[in-house]
Amino acid sequence: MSKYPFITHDEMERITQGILRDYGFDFENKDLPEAVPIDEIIEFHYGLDIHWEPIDHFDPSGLVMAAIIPSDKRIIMNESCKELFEEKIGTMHFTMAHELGHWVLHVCDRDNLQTSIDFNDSSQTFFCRSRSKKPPEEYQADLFAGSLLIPKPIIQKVMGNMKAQGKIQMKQLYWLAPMFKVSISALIVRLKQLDLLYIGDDGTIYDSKSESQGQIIFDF
Amino acid sequence: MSEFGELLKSLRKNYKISQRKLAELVGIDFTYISKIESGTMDPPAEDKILKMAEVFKVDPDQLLISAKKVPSELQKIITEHQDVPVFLRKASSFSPQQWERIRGIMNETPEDGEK
Repeated sequence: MSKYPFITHDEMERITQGILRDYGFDFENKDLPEAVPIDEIIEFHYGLDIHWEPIDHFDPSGLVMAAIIPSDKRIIMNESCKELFEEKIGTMHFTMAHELGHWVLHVCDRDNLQTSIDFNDSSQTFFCRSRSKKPPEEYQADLFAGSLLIPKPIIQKVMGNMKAQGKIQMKQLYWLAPMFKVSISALIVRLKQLDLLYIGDDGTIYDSKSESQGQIIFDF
Repeated sequence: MSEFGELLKSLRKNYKISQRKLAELVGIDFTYISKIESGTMDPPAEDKILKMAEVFKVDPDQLLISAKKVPSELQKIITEHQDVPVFLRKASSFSPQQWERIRGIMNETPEDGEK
């Protein structure tokens, strides 16, 4: 059993929207998406340092993207992945948001005055690898990152407007992802999670999962 | 952490300018900013430091001195006046009273010195 408490999707939305609100990022009155300033939130709202160092040695068996050392209040971005991050800014943003997720959810749950791990334990480091099989806390940090970078109120509004103009096409999603400064895959995962869109195995785009299963919901 | 690194970090935090934003404004690699701040790399060249001073609207000398760099303007003065290096070598051994007199001279105009 995981040592970290289960967090519902609604709770995650509440946490991430609270962070954006506290930072002064307007996500309720925007007609067009705007990238969340994730590095500013990390540095100036949470007081965490961002370092760039080669950290492949943290896990020789896999590709380490970044790590957080809670006792040092430090996020380390793997400098060996710099080219990848520069090429795919969305991946860099998501990785940073993911590390912040560990800080908020697993280290320093200030809202509830609880810490899930010993803050002063310098041996405690989260390092995040690029792999398909993940422990629950990594899923939570991913969920946090998607929820923070693609705020629900904005994406709901944007998708509502796009759907009102007709069937969503893939090229629209490729237009939308850079506006949030996220990767196309992060956007698709988020849309699927919010049931705003569903992409079938054959690449067909549906307005929702139920539509993909042949259940069309009519609005009366 | 170096003195320059600490100063840079505190300026960035005061002005809420991220490492990537500063790197873009100054024209250097963003990973370099992180290394300067942690003290693992030396401060950048003078022209980059001057751009940083512009961004943060601070006295360029303050940044240059914390980076342990002599502003190129001063380098020119040092090489052009043969008494300046002699003066600088002796400066560390001046007494407070001598410094007081030097400050007095510095506040004079060239015309005062000719009287």
